[in-house]
Amino acid sequence: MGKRIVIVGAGAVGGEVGGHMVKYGEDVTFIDGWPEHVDKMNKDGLRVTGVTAEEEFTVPVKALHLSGTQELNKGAPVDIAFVCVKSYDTEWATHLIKPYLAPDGFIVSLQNCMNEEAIARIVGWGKIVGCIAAKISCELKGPAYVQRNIPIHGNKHTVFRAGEIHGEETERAKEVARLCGFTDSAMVTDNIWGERWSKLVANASSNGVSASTGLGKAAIADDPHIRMVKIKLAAETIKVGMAAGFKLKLMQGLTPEIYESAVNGDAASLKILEDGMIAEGHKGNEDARPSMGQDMQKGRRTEIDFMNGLVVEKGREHGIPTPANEGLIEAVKKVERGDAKASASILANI
Amino acid sequence: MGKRIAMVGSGAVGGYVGGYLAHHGADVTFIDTWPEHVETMNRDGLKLRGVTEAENIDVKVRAVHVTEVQDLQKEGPFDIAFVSVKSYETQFAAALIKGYLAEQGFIVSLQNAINEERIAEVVGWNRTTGCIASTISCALEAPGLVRRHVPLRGDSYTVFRAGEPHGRVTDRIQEIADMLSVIDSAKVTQNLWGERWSKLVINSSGNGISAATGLGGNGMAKNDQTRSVSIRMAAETTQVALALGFTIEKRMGFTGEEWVAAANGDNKIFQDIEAKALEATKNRKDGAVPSTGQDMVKGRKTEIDAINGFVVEKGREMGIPTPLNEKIVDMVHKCERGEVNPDPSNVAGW
Repeated sequence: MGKRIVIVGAGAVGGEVGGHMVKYGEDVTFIDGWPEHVDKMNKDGLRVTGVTAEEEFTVPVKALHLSGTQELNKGAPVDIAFVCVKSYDTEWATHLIKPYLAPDGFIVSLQNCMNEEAIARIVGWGKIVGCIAAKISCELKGPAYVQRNIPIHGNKHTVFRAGEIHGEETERAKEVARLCGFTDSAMVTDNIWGERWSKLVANASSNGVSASTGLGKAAIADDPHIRMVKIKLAAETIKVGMAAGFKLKLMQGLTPEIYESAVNGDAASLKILEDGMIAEGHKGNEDARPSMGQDMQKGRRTEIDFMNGLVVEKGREHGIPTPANEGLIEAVKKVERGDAKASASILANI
Repeated sequence: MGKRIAMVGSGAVGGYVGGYLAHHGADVTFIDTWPEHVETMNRDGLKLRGVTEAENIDVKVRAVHVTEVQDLQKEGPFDIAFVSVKSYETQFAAALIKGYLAEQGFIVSLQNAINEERIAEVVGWNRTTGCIASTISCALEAPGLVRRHVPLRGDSYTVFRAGEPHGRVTDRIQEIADMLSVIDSAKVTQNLWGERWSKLVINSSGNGISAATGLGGNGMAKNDQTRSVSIRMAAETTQVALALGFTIEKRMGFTGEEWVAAANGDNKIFQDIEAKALEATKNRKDGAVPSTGQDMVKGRKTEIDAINGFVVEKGREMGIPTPLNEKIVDMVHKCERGEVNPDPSNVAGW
């Protein structure tokens, strides 16, 4: 308690996590770029719903338009700023909040992808803590209304993993875990890089595929060529991550070698991976789409440059070729610009 | 023509310049953080008001919220981005537009203070240019309404001075000057840094004092104490500029060296400057208050760090003491936080 917290980007994750903090009495100010959302939060409070009726609540919140950010200048400086914007908005969001941070204040990147480096370039490595939200599946349904689409994980799966860049278990990392713990299970991780990259393996091999083909998860799982594209994407991303020295945690039982040999034509390895993908594709909502698939449907800019683009960039640094990732970026951008329609054939050459 | 122009920040100066450019047929997109302003511009257009009837025009414009910027990528990149936000939002604005600039696209800092370095930090020096809007005296009176308080200068005085950081006359900077000349007199300056510092001398010796004392331009000149502080503060800033090797324009008929001499014990020059300062009050309305003073009255964060704070910072780099600039930064911060009320006694004994 007593800490002044700002949530920069009150979208799906920022709204969900910040809303729970407010519910439990923390001093939180939201900043967001969507005018209607901010106005409604101030007028009617923030509504948060989940899978069960007990999870639903509405709390009065303080929300600022971007033009209202300068009001933070009054009162105490900001102790913790959670940056929860799309990856391509990371830099301006960091610049926006930087002047209001306390001398020992810091930024938490509660985002997809791996934006710690971009934030550190602006505020320095000493002022950044990473936090992963794994399988939280939230959505901003409308102004001032956040919905969580899956049950509370609790002890079965740790959703939030807060970690220092250097991996030490500091007081401030524990504080971040405590604050996220109001929403669901949270821990301090000593392996933020490895966890980020492990999540990237999953994202890099599914988000862009959904966005460029326009297919739901079952249709993707049932197409043999797309399955192979996904395996190639994952294999490349794993290889780059290992070259970068990250400690990867792959899905249960899977090893980097299985991906590598599946790509090289080993039937047994391929079967293990394909069986898993097909089973996963038919679990739950068969038409579900990851965030990038949703973005494409809404006509919004995607995070492709920060997801597969990051794989390509780090691959170059370490001399690992990433042709599948490069091909996917091109396909997604074509659809984004409207130069091609989303379809399964767009991935034919990968 | 045919260039795509972004106005990042559509306040007093951004709204004024962008509005006239749009009126003269340029392809201008306004980006602003104040929701009501954006909505009013889109609904009713931008109302530009000047001193004469001929200057009063209503122009249809296209404005976007920050949250809609991601959508602009579909339309092709910007060739020119004018940044006209408060100094403390410079990096935010540069980072916001950076991802939407054309390969040869660049930024023009159309701001107070000296922000070229801040912009270059974000986009690099080759994409950074500056433009001074000198004694233009615009205000954003209400959403969608910009008023210019002084007559068009025309040939009597050059309002817009566009320049490259390296001083050479390039095609792109000539284009900026040509473009702005439909609004009021404009030229390419080969002395951007010197002109910026000349303006900073004026701002650093007026804006902060106005904010800390609550006095306007005439009030400061007529009060013996603030007049004296102002002259000595101008001399401090001038000394830093001269140490940095910049060419400072004559002010009130005196060279930079003469201002420094006045502060260092040349009573004759000191009294002559005082007389000129008093004389200047005859041509100025009593209501004229520098922007920092206006910000204080409105309870907004001021640009004091970018004005006097910048002088202190550069003074340290060059080993020039700047005690008065340091004091005014502290005092204005106290007033901003509400610890002290603006009053002439705040600079007593300085």
